[in-house]
Amino acid sequence: MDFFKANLWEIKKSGSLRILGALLALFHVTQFYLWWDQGHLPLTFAQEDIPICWSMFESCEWLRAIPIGALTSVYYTYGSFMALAALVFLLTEFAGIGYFFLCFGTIAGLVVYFQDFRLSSNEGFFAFFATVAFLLVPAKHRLMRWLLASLFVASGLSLLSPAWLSGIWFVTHMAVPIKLGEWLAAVTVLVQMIGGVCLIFRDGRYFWAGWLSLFLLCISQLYTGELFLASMGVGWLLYIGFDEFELRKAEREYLYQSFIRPEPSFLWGGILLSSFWLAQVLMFLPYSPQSHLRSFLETWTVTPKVNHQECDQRTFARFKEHTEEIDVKPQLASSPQLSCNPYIFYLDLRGLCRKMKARDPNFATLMSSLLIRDIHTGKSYLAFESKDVCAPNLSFSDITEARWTTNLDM
Amino acid sequence: MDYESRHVKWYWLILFLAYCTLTGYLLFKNNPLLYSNSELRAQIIGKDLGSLKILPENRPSTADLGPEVFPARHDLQRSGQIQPGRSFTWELKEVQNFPIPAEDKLQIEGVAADTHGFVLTGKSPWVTSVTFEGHIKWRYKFKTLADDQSLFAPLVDKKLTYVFHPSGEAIALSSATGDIVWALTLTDAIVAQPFLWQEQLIVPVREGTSTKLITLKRFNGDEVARTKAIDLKPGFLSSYNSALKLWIFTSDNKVVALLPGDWKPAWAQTLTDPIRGFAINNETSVFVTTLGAKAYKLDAKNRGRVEWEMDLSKSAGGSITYLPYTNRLNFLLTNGVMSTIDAKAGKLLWSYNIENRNTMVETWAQRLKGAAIEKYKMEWLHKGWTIWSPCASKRVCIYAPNKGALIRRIPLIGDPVAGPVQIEDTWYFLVKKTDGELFISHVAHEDTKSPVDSTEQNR
Repeated sequence: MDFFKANLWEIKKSGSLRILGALLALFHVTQFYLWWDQGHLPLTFAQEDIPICWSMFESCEWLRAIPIGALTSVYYTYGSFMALAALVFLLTEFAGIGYFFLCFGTIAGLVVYFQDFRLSSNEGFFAFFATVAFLLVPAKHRLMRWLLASLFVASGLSLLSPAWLSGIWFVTHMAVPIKLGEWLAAVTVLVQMIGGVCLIFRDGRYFWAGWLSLFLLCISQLYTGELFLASMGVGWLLYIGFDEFELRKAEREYLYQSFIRPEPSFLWGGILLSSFWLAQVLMFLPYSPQSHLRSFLETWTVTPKVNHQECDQRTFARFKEHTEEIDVKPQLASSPQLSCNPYIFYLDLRGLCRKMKARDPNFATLMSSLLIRDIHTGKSYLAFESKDVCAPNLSFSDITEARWTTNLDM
Repeated sequence: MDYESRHVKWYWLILFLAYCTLTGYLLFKNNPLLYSNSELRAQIIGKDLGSLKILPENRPSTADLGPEVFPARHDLQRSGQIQPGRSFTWELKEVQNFPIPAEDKLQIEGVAADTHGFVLTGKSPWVTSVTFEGHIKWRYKFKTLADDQSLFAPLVDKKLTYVFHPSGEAIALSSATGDIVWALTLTDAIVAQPFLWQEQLIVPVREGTSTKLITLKRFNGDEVARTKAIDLKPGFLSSYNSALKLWIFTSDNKVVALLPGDWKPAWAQTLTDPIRGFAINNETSVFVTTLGAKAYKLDAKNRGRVEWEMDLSKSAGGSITYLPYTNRLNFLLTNGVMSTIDAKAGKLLWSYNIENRNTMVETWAQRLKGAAIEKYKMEWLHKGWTIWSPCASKRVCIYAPNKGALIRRIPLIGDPVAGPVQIEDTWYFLVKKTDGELFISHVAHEDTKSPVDSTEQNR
């Protein structure tokens, strides 16, 4: 209980941390709204036959042990508790009540979030990671400053790839000339990496230069349509700005400070930050065999905004009398990492098999081929190629074995 | 960093500068000189083009697929001659016809055939293989086709049917089952009718404002070679001069001869008007007609030198037919008139208004039996070669080459659209009724038992 009291005491005595609590709750409300807007995404995924597991879980069938009714309750608990937490932090002085709403809301949110890997996103990761740190790790002022600065830097670091620096994201989203797209991409990286570091400087010139550049970047990101991520960035910057003012005020009132409670240790904050950076550095290391630690840390990695893979899927539907090439509408994948995930393609195909069988009695099967190209290396590999995707007992592990072979004796 | 001190210590400043430098280094390392996106894409594609978009991975490694079955204009020389080694009866009639079931009316533009039926393409993404008895054998549908596009005519060999989408897709299907044998997405649009040459499939694709030829192995779609840009405009047609072993292409107002294999130009001849249809080859001569109502004879052995040119009363409706032994050229004009000219001198021999109102505007040549030579007082020296042509409305007629005397009129159930495919003693035509419904019409000796409704015969 003392642990919670200590954390709560820190939040209670700081106006900026209460604002941060409200902001974090609002981020979760936004996350809930986005899921709700997309047709209650977690509940939709939970009702599918096969979940997509997070890399840290070897199997996630056990997650399906939660009945859908119970999961629905947890899902709505998440949304409502977060809304209440935001209201309490913003409108009242009862930080304790807000803290516990945020705590229970976060637990409910994590239960929902870990149901399916397709729910993962940078925004979700940032929101949950920052909330857990906010709720449980002491020395919050320093930790949150370092953590939020780290999130900006890590976000910039994740964009350090030819895929992003080619400017293609800006060209496709904003219809700007290619050259301008390239420069915008480069400036985005520079601002996030250098501006993020500036946030930990005490020298006002560096701090406010970094703060202002990041603020302008986030505002411009609002224009480019990245509403959630940009609002999150603006929220964090507002908190850091308030925090800076509060710190300056505390310095001015140094003589009047109470030292009954000493400054909490930064040990746990340091461990958390180290883990975070270990995860970020992982993605720059050459491939090493999958381990539990690596799988765990992978879930902490900031996902690049643009995918470094390009996937080319061709699918043909076979009917009794004809064959036709079709487009397979991809399932909603919030993370660019998932856009070339063979398993997602496999699930899409199996889902389509069911739909087409029900719709057309002449439908026989799907033939599909998925080629994935890594645009870093320019190498491509055949993820799978199957002549009978709709075979009753076909599993994902079999699909790579059930090769599509043609001969001229047909 | 000393958190309590606002002043940045020199060592932190150096560290910060080093960090900024590292950021800049990483930035330029990942995008040297901030090269343009298109260059980056080109570089990425250039790294691994070979395995780009052909499927499946396990394709046939070898096969004997034989020559093209029923090529356009009946042979690669496009001379319009059917089975020069055989003579046929003239006492023909439509003995059977079969409707082609189609959910939507097929707007046929490309037709190929094998010994079992027709393969049809047109202004829809569907490819339909139909037996001569009107049963759908198989169908294949491309994803989409723009309203202003048409699929190219299919090509058929002993086992495979090759179909092409103008966006750059080439697919080989089993002629028997319609199963995909291989499917290839080319990086450029297909700009002209592909053709088969020996064991290879030649696909003309866009190269800037010109064309390049991509040579593929017929049995598995593997790329064998690709040429540099050749000055051929989209929509060109190809024919083969077997005497000189040259491929002759007609592109706009140019006749271009290329050496097969490396596809290097042997010669090119520019005419005054755009060329209509195929260039027709006979020995070392090449014959063409133009939209400007002219006919030309070119000497392929002499860099395409024009041997003669003659004015026509109207431009030709389709390609020329060469009549062996008589040394005559025959073709239909756009006003329904049939003309025959002397291939040696380039002089009009006779012209006869056959009032052709059919969709088909091309004639062909076939030999008749000795009895017909005798009966219709044709010259024995001409070996029975006669002119076969769509005539009037819903009819096919046979004419003697000398003065165009009518030998036989064969009424059909509808307008001949394509054909004939001649197998043994039966001619198969694709015909279209006035309501747009397509039929396959069987023409055979009049004594053949005819299950055709008598009312249809007496139209």
